Amino acid sequence: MPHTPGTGFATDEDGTRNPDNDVLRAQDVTVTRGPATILRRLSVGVRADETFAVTGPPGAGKSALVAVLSGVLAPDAGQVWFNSRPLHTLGGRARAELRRTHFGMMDGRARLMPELTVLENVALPLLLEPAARDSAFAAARHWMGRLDVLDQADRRPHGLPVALLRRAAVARALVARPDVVFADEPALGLEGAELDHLMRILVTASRSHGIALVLATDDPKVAVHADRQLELRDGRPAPVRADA
Amino acid sequence: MIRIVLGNLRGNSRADHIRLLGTACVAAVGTVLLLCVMAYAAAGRGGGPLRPLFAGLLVLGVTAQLAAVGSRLTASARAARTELLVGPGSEPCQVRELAATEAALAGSLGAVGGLQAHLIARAVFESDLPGSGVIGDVLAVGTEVPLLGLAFVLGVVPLATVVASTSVLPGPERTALPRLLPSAHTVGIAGPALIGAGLVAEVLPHAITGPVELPGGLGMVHPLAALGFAMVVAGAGLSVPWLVHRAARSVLAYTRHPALLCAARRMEADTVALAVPLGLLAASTTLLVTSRTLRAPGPGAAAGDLPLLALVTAATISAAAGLLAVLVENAHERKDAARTLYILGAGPWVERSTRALAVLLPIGVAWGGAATLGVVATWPLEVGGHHPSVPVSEQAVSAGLTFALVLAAAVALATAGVTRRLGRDGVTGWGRPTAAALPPAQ
Repeated sequence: MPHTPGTGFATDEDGTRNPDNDVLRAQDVTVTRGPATILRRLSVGVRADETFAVTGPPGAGKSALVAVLSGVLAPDAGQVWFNSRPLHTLGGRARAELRRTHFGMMDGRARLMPELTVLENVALPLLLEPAARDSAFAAARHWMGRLDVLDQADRRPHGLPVALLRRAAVARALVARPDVVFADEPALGLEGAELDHLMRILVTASRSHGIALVLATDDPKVAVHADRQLELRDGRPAPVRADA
Repeated sequence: MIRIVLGNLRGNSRADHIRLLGTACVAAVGTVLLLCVMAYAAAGRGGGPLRPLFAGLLVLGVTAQLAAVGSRLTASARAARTELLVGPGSEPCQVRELAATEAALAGSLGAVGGLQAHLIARAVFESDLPGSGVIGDVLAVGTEVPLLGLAFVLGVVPLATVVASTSVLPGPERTALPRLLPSAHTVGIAGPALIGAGLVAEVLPHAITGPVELPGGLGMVHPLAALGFAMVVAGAGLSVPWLVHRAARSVLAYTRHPALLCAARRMEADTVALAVPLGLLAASTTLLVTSRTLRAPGPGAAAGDLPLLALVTAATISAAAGLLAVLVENAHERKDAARTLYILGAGPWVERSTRALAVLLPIGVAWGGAATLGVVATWPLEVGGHHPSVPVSEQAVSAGLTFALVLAAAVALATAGVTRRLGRDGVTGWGRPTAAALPPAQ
């Protein structure tokens, strides 16, 4: 799918942007942290069942953009829409509910709750909903099986290899069949075959279930799995190079 | 190894500094108290060799427990620092060796400092300063501590800190799920069995022969009843780990609520860590409630209660330190859990209940178990001292109840403190997350 350079908006075949097709859309978003401006009037759109990568050097604002799109962070200015719901007007409680019911989250540290077992961690998004305990654990086992971490079900995360932690985090992000999965540096610490394996599973599972996948990464080996990329620099879309 | 310890000292780890200073202070106070006990014994004011020995063991026990708590609390910080100094992949034995060297160094410095403090205090209170009489009496001014005893104290205090500091390494188990050891299962059976047998032993003498008047002012206590009481106290102490573990497994088998899951997993992981202080508390509560059981009121009764009160005080200090360790050492994990829940979109109720239950459930179950066992242990007692088996005074019952209530209030305060602290450091309410909850800066 083509995209308008420098905006990140999805475009139709004729090259015109059609925001109505976006499952997720940010318009003129600005985020500041103290005196620093992290995102500067950034606009971006993500379509359903596409894989969209936000790339750029460290400090470019990739994680902040993912945080804003997922409702973890409220923007200082601008608008964020999810399926016609204005995230920027929602309070913290409503944004949390949205994350719980429609989004799958995977942050850069693959943060699992240290006291729970890997199985309980994977089932956590379902346990936060009024889902039955047995069905939640059954779904968690299913996804852990697909990601080859089922044999670690009864272990606690501390001391597990990074690759297994990442796979468990992917399983947790997908277990509730969300509309959008946000993966901030999903393959951090992985190399070679392990990285490829993880990304293939993440992208394939997202596509097969019609889930939009938003990646934030500075690793080209991760970004290559995306249908579309937006490169950020200093909180803005990177200028299109002449040789591009 | 000393080079690494010195490297730790020069490093900027606050946890290392606090641990070393704390161990040295504990060793110093322990040395002062032991020297006082030895001076008492040398002056022949201890009433025989048993009481000073008993007091000395108590002081050593509390010193070791406090050193162990310090070591446990900073185990992860020390492991991280050792990796920096020794290089990645440091072996557990290297961490243990480092901990032993460090504890020996801090313990020796503390012991020498304690000796100096004791000598200076004695010199000061040998003078005619106002009020020096009472303190001089406590310090046994005018009595020389034998040189052999002095050497013994200077050797045994650092040794106690070394043994205690290395015994709790490598800190709480975080990798695999802890399973109760077969020996702990045995303990779980032995505890209730001891309580049952002890209760029978307490009631049996009266049922068979009626009240027995013993000579020597011991009151109306049959030796078998006293033995039964001791068995009940020991059983109460042994049963706490089993109770904590069983309660955790029961919660895990049925709950789907993340807050209860987290709390039960922590309780399961901290079975032993919780059991030691709460077993001590169960025993000391029982002892306090029945502090006059073995001695009828009358002349000399207060002096007779002194060893008992010393034992209760030592148990309480050790238990309080142990509870503090359990509360503090998981603070980092609780913070991580709060952030994960926020990112996953947990509601405020789930987040708050997770924070509160993480502290309340393990300690509540353990404290409830300890209190129940205390009540069971004192069941044959009757307020007013008219019971033919084991009499107890109303004041002792009031003191015991106050002790239990103050402990409950302290737990509630600690819970509130931890919950509030995490709220400040992690995610504040449901507005904009604090810096800690923001994505990491790149």
